[in-house]
Amino acid sequence: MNTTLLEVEDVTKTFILHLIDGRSITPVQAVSFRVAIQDHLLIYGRSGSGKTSILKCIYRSYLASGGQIWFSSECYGRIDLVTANESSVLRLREREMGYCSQFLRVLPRVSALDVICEPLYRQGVAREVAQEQGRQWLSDLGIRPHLWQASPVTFSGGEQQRINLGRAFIAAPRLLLLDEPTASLDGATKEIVVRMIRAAQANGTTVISVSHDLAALGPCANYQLALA
Amino acid sequence: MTTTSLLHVADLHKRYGPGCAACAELTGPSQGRSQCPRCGTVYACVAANFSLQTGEVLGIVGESGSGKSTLLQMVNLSIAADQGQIWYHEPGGSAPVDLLRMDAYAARRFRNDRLGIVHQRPELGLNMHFSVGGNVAEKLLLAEWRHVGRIRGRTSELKLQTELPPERIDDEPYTFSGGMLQRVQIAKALASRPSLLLLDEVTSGLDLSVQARVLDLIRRIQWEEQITMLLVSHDLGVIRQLARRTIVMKNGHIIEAGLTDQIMEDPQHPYTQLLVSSAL
Ligand SMILES: Nc1ncnc2c1ncn2[C@@H]1O[C@H](COP(=O)(O)OP(=O)(O)OP(=O)(O)O)[C@@H](O)[C@H]1O
Ligand SMILES: [Mg+2]
Ligand SMILES: [Zn+2]
Repeated sequence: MNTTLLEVEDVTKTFILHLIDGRSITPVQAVSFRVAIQDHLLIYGRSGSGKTSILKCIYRSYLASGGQIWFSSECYGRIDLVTANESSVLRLREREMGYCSQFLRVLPRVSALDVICEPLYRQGVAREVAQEQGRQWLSDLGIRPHLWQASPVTFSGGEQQRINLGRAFIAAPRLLLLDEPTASLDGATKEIVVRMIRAAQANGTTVISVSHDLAALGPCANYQLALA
Repeated sequence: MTTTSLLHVADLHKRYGPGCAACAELTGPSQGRSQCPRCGTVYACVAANFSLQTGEVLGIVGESGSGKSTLLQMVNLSIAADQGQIWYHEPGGSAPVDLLRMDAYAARRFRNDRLGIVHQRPELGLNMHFSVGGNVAEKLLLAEWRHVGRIRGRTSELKLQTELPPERIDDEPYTFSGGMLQRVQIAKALASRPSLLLLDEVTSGLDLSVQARVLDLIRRIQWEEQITMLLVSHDLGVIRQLARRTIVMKNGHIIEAGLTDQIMEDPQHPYTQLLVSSAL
């Protein structure tokens, strides 16, 4: 029985900075790991050790310079995210792979409710049904109702982070990538996030989180990977 | 693969001038120019290749003169390509057809019925002395709508959809503000329910707040109708808001193509790196 969901093999990421006399930097050097279905892998390491870069290579916001990232997709079977074509990656992002960035990046003038619901809209879920779920998530995340129709652009850092998380969790992806999910949150809200991660796992989601907050996330991860 | 291409552009070329033996060596992104210094020929678009999936918004960015509009106008069949193919596959239709191999009548029909275009300069897209209704009706008549009641009905729908103030409906566009003119152009472009909407710098030159509202409108229409769009802009902010995939052009060539977030966060080509770093 093979329950591996993701195999990162020898992945390297080098940036060539053409604007700074072609200098190159390599934040990720020959990194390999595997994640089984419903695992939670916590990747930690000092700032600048390439944690976010690895997540972005998996999500394909970055193009890995070397190595393979094998994902066991429901839709495509075993697929290498490094070389998969763009439409496949878009489809995987819509259906199987979620990403919560360190900072919220949203369109201006879109309400918090719509921001949270957007992944469901993209999947073709009816507006009313999506918004029902969206309100539930907003309330679970402790976002006060008077903010639901406002644009998150004006929210506090912690509120934005919660919107960001809700957006990643709502679509119940098979693989959830979380970048510093507890940064800028207070103790009580961290608790909520940890509970959300556990609940998602119990529902079949595989989680890879990147953080230096070992105190909050360590206890809910089954595996840890330290980056030098 | 289950996704279907609506459009597949293959090896599309457009040049202005006779060309000479030195052109290839002296033009292009590596030379930093699209005009041959020897013979004066301008290479507006060279060997363009890309596909557009049904329902997708594809962004095209690049500096002024890089060939974005030329490419869009070739797809709009309003500039004749020198070489190449534009394969069009109607959703649910039979085999793809090459738009460049259609006869003149079929091409005109196709353009009027299946395509909609919004220009940066409204006077290119609108008859400034027809009312809003007149402009929409003009497009529908060209698309061979004959029934007056249907034309009226469609016109009212479009006015609502593009949020044109009812009290201005009978006015002639030359009395309108820039933002309103773009709404009228959008209404006209959408009139025949085209399968592809072409947008050329539609918010350039508008005040920021007006620009924002026009973008909101385009985004809403995209959501509601799931219409396929080719969106030309030199503004990365506009592209980021609307397009999930992006093509970067320079000196007539496509130098980079990818997922929009990848283009923004991990640009590969030196020029794209410059473009992104200047935008932030
Ligand atoms: N009819 C023409 N005759 C000669 N050269 C032309 C003609 N039309 C376009 N060009 C040239 O082709 C090149 C590409 O022009 P194009 O209008 O496609 O650029 P663009 O990327 O849309 O620029 P902008 O951002 O300024 O709109 C330019 O060098 C332009 O001067
Ligand atoms: Mg142009
Ligand atoms: Zn020449």
